[in-house]
Amino acid sequence: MAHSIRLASERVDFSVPSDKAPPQLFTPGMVISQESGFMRGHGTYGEDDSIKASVAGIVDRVNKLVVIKPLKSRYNGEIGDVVVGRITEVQQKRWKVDTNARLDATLFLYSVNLPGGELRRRSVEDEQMMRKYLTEGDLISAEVQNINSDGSLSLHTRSLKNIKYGKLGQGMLIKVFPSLIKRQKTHFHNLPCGASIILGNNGFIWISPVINAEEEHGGFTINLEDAVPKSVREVMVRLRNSINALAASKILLFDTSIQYAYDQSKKYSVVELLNPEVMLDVAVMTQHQLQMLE
Amino acid sequence: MDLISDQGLRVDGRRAGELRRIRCKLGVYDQPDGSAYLEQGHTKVLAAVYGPHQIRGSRTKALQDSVVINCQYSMATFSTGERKKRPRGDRRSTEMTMLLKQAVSAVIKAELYPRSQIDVFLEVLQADGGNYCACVNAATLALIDAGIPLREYVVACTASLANGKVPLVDISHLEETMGGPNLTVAALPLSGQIAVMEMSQRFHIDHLEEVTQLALQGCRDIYKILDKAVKEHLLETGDFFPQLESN
Amino acid sequence: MKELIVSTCEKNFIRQAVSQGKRLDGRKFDDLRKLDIKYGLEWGSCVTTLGSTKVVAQVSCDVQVPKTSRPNEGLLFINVELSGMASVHFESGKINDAEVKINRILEKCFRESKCIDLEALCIVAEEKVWNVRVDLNILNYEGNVVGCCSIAALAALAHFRHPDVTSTGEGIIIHSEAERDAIPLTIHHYPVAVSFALFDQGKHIIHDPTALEEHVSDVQLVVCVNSYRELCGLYLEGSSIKTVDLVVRCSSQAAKIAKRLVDYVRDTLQEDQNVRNSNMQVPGLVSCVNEDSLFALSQERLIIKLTDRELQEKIKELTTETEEKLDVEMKDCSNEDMKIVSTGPSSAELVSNLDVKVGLGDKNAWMVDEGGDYSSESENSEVELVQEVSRHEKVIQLELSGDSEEEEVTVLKPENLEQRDLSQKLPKKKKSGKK
Repeated sequence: MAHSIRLASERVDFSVPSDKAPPQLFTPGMVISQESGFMRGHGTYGEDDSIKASVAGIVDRVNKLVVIKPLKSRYNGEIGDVVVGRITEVQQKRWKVDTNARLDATLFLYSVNLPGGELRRRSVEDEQMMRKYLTEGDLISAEVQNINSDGSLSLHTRSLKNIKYGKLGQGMLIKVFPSLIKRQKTHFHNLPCGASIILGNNGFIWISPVINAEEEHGGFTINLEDAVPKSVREVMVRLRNSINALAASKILLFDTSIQYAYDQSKKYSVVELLNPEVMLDVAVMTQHQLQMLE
Repeated sequence: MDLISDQGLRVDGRRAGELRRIRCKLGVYDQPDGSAYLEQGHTKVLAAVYGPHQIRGSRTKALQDSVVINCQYSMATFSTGERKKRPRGDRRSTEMTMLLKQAVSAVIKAELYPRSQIDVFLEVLQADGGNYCACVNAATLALIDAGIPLREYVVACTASLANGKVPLVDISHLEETMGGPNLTVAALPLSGQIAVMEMSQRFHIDHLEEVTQLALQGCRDIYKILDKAVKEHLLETGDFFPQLESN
Repeated sequence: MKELIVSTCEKNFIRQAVSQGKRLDGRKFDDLRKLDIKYGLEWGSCVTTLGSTKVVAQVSCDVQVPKTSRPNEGLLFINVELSGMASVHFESGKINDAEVKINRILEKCFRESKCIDLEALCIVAEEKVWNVRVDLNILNYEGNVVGCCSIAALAALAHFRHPDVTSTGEGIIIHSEAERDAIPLTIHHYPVAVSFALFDQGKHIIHDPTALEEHVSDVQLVVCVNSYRELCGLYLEGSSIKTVDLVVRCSSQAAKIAKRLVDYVRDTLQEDQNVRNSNMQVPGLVSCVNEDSLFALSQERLIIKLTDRELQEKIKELTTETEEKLDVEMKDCSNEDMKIVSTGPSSAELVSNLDVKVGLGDKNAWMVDEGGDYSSESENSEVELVQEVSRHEKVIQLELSGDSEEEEVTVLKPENLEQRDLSQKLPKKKKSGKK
């Protein structure tokens, strides 16, 4: 199979043309406003009575609050967000989880469901068995319970209703910018194309085969023995490539846009989707479809 | 060979107060949080920024009320005329690293990220004079690309004195080695503060003021160029902004 | 590298003192500490002391192949060693930032400013040249190490002589000291590094800072100047400074200081030359260690020095204040009950003739204390009352804590307490006056 090599000067420009008017841009050090009536939000700082920008982005004014949103930034947690993270450390009575934020998040022992579903006080034996539940390198899905004073997040995996948080089994992880994930009511989707995805607010997306509701899953038991059939694998891989195409053109990711991108990508083979021009094409078509929806 | 001819032209055809051509691009890599590529004349530099993230390695290095800034300056072995045996770790690179850290620390709002770490990596691909300046400028762009709040841009520029009388700005490698003094200034252009100032060779004290003023003017000019590039980059990726309106 | 740890109150104290125009050791802002250069027996070795900062320099040379880009120039290499010997917070072995900084400044100052004629060090072009190597070891790190090193390096280089060389057809003969006199290096100009510490956005500029002052200052600036008012190197470190003319001002001040220092170096060189010429026993570095006085190896404990006059004024101020406050009939307080006792050169201590504890530190912020100013004898009666109570309490506690019968319970009498406390504060000769 031939590898495609291209010069850097022939790189594809991934920006999808938009017909909206260019917004007013601010760069660090520029003065936003000289009046003192405004409250300073993220991305701004005050000096000598005037408000100056500290990141490069566009300004968002809500009543009296001035906020500048940068293009890219690390994940800033909010309570109630769904995140996908990786365990980095096992400490006494808690695990440390890497969530692409500026500090590792904490998952306390009492914030997880014990296998078997018992409700009891965690004892010393539970502490010593922590490594059996989750060890370094495991991927989990969790919800943000609390934000500590220093900015680090506190997670929990105790599931309510039928949302199953916990260790993730067979599947694929994709990393995108946190700002590309749209906030929605639910982040666990079973796509009609035949796979299910978890859109973590921190930019980590998890693609896996369809989860049956009856299966005992989540918590700490993962199913690593069942072989995933080839058709499902193909679906998952196609999904991954289309998500990457959308991310490269900075299109918002939510279940509808991903579904459209998947449909658009059907006319190419999975391997062709790695081609930058094809990615751009898929993104442009998805953007059209989304605009028609509005 | 005169550094400046009678018609007022330098060795490469520039006038005394002209900068070299600057080209830059933000967001060249996907892996780091922020990245930038900058060319200043023939000097080519790549910058990558990771962070802010949890401090890896020893927890004890964490500062309770500000962020730890970690810089690394490295010159590729093919960057100079003769092959460079040690890309980093020798004295000159360590000094550059320290000065870079000083320049970057002067603009990052460190109190916003306690107990975190920001890594800045610089790689010089081709060295033709003004390496430090190109590095500082590239680092600024990479930090902006990563979305790290800065007080303002930090821009660096060199200046020198030709034939003992005429001040030159933005000197190339040839002009450095031909014996003239060189003054490097890293400044915050909007507020006029100086973050780093460094000089070698020798010239008379009376010239210090005019050479410094010329370097500061060079910094302001470079700032305009970098600002324009950042705004263009933001516009190109403008399709991202609809999210704000739909929220 | 561990950081030099300075407590917050020290920092605040130094900053306040600077903003009032005072320095800890009583110098004015532009005073330098005592500079002393002693040369060794060998050519090119010297020990330089600037206050408490001590640096030893040694210049040596050997023959090497020159650089391909400069085939008829000699080589000059400067190496500074800053190890755990200099100060506790430097780790030996690993290269730390301060070492790199000093190395680079000295390189710029001497090598890149071309103060030594390197072409004169060429023996055979493209094959053999002299490689001059300056090794500096910092023995004690007490501020302005760069300045001290640069003076040491300059003095050592000016003092150094390399052996004479004649070339025969095939090779070269290096003559020893006995055969032919060694040749000194050709020095074009004499550069020195002057360091400044800037406080408060440059409002206060301090010359020759001590280690504490350096650590607390906002900006540290090092300017390398030679005696012709030419700048050889500049190095700015710390938080950003606002204006260029600060740097320009410092440079002009540095030029004046540099001239003085270079003249001093030249004078000491001349003296050493005279000693050697007159065939007297060259003292060498032994004179650094051997001193004929009893206090040769003693350390001064007090780093805070105030002048007598200031102290007297301060007493008058304090006592008049308390007079107004308490409205008590006071005895004449000027010299009867308070005495100023000299405890060394330019230092003094305020001592009371009465039974008052002096110098027990700042006001007690933990408990509400009615003692007030100990140094004022108008509150004498009140002070004594409080003291009695506390002493009594101490005694009681001791008795109670001894539960076991085997423990020996000793009850400290008030006089013993007083004795022990005071004897630490006052010099021995005053003890008799106490009782």
